[in-house]
Amino acid sequence: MSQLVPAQKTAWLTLAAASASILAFGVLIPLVGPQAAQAAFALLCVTGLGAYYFRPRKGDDTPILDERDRLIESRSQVLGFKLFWVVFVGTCMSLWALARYGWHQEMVSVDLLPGLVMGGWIVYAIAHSVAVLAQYGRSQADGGQ
Amino acid sequence: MADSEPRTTLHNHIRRLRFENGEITQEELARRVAVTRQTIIALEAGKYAPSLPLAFRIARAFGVTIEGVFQYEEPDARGGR
Repeated sequence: MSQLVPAQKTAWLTLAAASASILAFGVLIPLVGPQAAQAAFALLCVTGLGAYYFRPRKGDDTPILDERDRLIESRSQVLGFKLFWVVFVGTCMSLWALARYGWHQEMVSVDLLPGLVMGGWIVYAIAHSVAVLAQYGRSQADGGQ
Repeated sequence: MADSEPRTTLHNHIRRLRFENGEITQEELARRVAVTRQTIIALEAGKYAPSLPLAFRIARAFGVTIEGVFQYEEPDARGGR
């Protein structure tokens, strides 16, 4: 792990936290029901610890972030938000179609809203992290293009 | 959407220049040009093409011109990579 840059370490931490929360959510559903099981997503707060990797290091005056890191972060954010938007819109439209034409209801539970937001955030976090790891690992020249 | 502009390749002599200039370590070069050591590693491995300001800083760190560090290779006529 010592050769990984802070952004890579943070990406791995995010992937681990997202995977753990999804797994815990799945395990908790049959035990406490889908509403209470959403508490499993509290595990996502662990991702905040990623800031620890960006702390200034004693005796090391090289920058923590440079232009390559910023380029990769920028591309990863764009990809994450694009995927979030596609999934968010797709889920909203699917729910609407299901409710309207499948269940023949004109209303849906407001409890779907936090689930949509949380699900969207997880999609963003996973897509962003995978994009970060892929860009640091890929072997083709990419800078400034 | 088709990529109409052929991809270019940038080669560099950073590793050779480091050893010709007193065996500067990657860490030391990173400190001189204000980037992370991982970026120097990526540059030497040809995995990253730097911005123009960074290319200037690297060239000046070695006391040579940009062309002394980086070589721009024209893409072939078929647009191959």
